[in-house]
Amino acid sequence: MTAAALNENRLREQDLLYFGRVLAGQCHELVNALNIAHELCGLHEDILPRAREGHTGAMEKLGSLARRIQTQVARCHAIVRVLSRFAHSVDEPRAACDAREILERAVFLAARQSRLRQAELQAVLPEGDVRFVDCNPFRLQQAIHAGIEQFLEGIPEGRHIGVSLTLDLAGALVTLESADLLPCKDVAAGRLAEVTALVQATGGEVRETPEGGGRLVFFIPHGRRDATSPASDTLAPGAGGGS
Amino acid sequence: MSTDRVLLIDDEVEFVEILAERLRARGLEVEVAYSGMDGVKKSQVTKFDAVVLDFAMPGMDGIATLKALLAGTPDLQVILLTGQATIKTAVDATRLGAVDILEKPMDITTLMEKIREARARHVARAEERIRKQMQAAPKP
Repeated sequence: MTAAALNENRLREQDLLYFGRVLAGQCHELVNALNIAHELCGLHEDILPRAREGHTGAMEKLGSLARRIQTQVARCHAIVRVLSRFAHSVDEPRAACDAREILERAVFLAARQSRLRQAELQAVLPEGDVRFVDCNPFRLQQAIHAGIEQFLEGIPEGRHIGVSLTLDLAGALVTLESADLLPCKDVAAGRLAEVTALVQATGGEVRETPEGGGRLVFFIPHGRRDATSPASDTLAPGAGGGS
Repeated sequence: MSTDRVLLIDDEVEFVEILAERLRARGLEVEVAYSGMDGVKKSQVTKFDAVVLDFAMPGMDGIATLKALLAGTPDLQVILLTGQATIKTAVDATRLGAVDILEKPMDITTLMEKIREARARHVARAEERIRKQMQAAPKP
């Protein structure tokens, strides 16, 4: 087996672990929202007899409970929508992807982990037309997510991480930064190797590593062939996010 | 007989607020804490008949909170709530001293029963302690 094939096998194993981790985390988020909805329904049942007796306050409370249940249903829908697009991002090993959407999704998927670390995760996305980058959408979001995890592991609890995207004619530049990143530890070095391998597998390159200035910057060019995918002459935009 | 006094510890603010409202409507005296640390502090100030503790929390998680609660008040009756109860979770929590484990979403009637059982155990232990102290005391 060639080194490239071995590397691809390792990446596939990592893909599967990542898929499982994201799914487990989002299941927790769904369960949290459903638990709140469950208790709201219970409270609704508790109040119903008083509302039937004509208590004005109880009637108003029922209305407010219905709105709060709707909020939790909307929260569940948002999670399922993102999960569906996440699941479909494995459909094609290479596609024209909306980098903005992928970054947004990676940040959404990392929100639970950042909350558990009590970190503030902020995404800065470019305005304007959608620009597509030609890459493996699943691995691009995995690279961004792994980068966020590297920062989450490297900052004290309760600090800030910024994730931004800059798009130009050459490609997409993803920047993760935190003023609170501690000096590189072994675990961070392992994470960096993981991010680097993923970025390279999407046909991109890591341009800045966080050891020095607390910034991780990587670049995904437009139109470059995915490092692990067969070449193709035509490419349909929008294939990276699923339906 | 005094009112059952319960402490709810859960980082899901909305969940814990609604649960507190429902338990209060059933006659319990309820305090809430949104983190393990906050819960431990409250348990040092107020005596509770039972603590209902969430397993997965940021910062100090359910297991770390359980240890800290029992270190301060060994008799405390802690009921652990979990989103996904596994045998391992149950075994670990019971070994550490949790008196019950309930999987979310739980039925309010079941939770009320568990709280009442916890209170009964709490009272029985306190009575047992007093009885032993009286037996050990020198007779006039």
